[in-house]
Amino acid sequence: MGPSLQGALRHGSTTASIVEIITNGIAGSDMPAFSLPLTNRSIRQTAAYVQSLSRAGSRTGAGNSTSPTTGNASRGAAIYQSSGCPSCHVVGGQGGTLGPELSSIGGSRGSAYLRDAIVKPAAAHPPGYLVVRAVPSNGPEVRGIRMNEDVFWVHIRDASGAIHTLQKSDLKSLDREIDASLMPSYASRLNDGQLDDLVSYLATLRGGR
Amino acid sequence: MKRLMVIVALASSSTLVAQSGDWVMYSGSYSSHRFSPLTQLTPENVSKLRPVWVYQPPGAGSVEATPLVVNGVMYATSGPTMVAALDLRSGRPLWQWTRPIAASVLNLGFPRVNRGVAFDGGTVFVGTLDGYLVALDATSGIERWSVHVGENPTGHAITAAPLVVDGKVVVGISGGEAGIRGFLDAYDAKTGRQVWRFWTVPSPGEPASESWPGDSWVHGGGATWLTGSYDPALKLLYWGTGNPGPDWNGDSRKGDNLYTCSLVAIDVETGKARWHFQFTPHDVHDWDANQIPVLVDTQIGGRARSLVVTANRNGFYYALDRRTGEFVLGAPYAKQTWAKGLDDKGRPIVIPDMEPSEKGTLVYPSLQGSTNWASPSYSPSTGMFYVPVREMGSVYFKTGVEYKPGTYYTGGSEKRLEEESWGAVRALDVKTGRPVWDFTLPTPTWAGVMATAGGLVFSGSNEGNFYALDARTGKPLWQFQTGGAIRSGPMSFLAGDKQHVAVAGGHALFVFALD
Repeated sequence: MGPSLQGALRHGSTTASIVEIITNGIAGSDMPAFSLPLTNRSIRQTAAYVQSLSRAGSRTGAGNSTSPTTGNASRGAAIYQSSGCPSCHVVGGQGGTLGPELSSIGGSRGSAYLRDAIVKPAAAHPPGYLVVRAVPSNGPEVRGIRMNEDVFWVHIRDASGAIHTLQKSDLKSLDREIDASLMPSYASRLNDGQLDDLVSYLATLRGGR
Repeated sequence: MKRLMVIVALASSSTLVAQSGDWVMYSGSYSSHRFSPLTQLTPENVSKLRPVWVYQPPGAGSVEATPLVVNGVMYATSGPTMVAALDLRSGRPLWQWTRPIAASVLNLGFPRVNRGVAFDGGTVFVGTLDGYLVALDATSGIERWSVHVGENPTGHAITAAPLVVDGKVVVGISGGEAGIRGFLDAYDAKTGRQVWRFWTVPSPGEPASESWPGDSWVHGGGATWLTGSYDPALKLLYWGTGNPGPDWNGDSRKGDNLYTCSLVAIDVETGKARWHFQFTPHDVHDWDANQIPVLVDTQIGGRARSLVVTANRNGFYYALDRRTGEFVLGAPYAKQTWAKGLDDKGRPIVIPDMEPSEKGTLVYPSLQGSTNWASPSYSPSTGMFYVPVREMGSVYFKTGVEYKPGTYYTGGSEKRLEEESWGAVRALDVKTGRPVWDFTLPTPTWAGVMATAGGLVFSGSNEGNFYALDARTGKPLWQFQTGGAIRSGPMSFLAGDKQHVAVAGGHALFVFALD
């Protein structure tokens, strides 16, 4: 969920700034304030530990020590392009926006998860990418990603990227497809070696531009 | 009546006025009239205006933005740096984007807010409190690019909405209380590559550098912290600049301190200044000239004039020729005690001994000025310029000052005369600057104003009232209590062929339409 603490730190590197972040959290992120559960002393100790992780990560090369992979990342980058991944995913600002952004996926997900997500996308769809099927009383069925739903309304983004605003009172049915994904499985399109390469490439994506 | 019809015809033929039911940029159009051409809401029916939905962004940030509406989607922001795309019918977010902002991010001299986005070709552009300009895909909120505009540890930040012109994203910088050297930047909308930078404070050898002694220019201020305007025919950007640094102690910067407290006309292709006009030479009261410049075509003395007009923080209204910067006319529009008037070039005739002092000097207006960042509005239908006015004086104090990066570089303070203060929406005759009517408010206002072609003027109050006035008389016709101080500019749009009005109040965004 959070960024890697090995190597360069994103939100501050001095003891004071790390203490401040642990104490107050980071507004607009999932990092909560730890001023209640931790004492001042343990906050300072935690900050010192974070700094040691950062230093160690810098020595071993930008925190690539986790998620060892056996593939070849540069071959994986070519497979990423030739398999059509950029038509639905953004990396470094480039690519389609139907699927989740992958710019820093290597910093938040391990190799096993990434491999699973390519082979069985439905089993691994991330939060915010639930597939729903709406059948209006009048008009054609709409199937796509649920962008947002409240008591009376649902917004669905279909595979073409079009956004549909639907009032529930106008629908005959609205079904959640918990185990579905708009992403096809690549199990039959890539062999094991290619999958390893692709996963290795994804593991290198850590938000740098 | 005949004269009035001529004005309307001129306005509707102008390419500067927004034509559709969308609200596509911060001030509504490049001419920054903050005027809605929509006519469904009128003095006769506005009493039936009702809230349609309310949006409360996650987190505790206050909402000071003017939202945009483009192609059926509203783009709103909240503090410190959050953007939401909202469905117009349901009010529900299609996506929300947040940039994590640690408490250590500096905001010296302004709150932790964001005042809006720019939109162009399927991309939403937003400045961030930590000094970046970010491009987001308008359908998903996914980041396309981001570029570092200014170093936050030295007090640089972005709170203003950018302006997109001819494929360039033009964005200003905040930090005038932190001793920054101000600039205005343009970036390529597709790539984020910098196209040009205009420094608002010249370096030695450049034109106007003689207005800065020694190395005082290095921390000379001149922030560009609000959105400017643009004339497509002249290809000129009009952008206001802020106070010189240090704010209240001018001893180290004897001279006019160009181009601070000025309006600068910048060639959008080259980033070079074509002309400048300085409202407050050698300012020592923090009277920024960042107020939204408003482009007006009208007749003065039987002659057609292309003007840029502004109600300045220093208490004077100005009309300038927007091709040349020539001073056309000026007049005080609020209580001021620092100048006898303006000379024939528009330069203030300053009254002696009005500078901040150790024992304190009482001056009108206060540090926050006779008006501030809250947007004015111009109605081509009435020929009136509607100004959010702050009637308040202050005792100004002067102290010693030393530059330390990332701290206040101001050299003084003020003691506001709060109890004697009040506010108003003031209608000025755009041709003279003379007040036509006042709608008075209990306290000096921070709410922007929007006039509409239906004959209404919308604005708000610190006390949470959002209200509609008759544009010709200032008579109140409708009000709604939002429950939070209104520090934002209203806007209007069509959704489902129905005119809507939106305004931010407190920590929420309110949208209204007729029953």
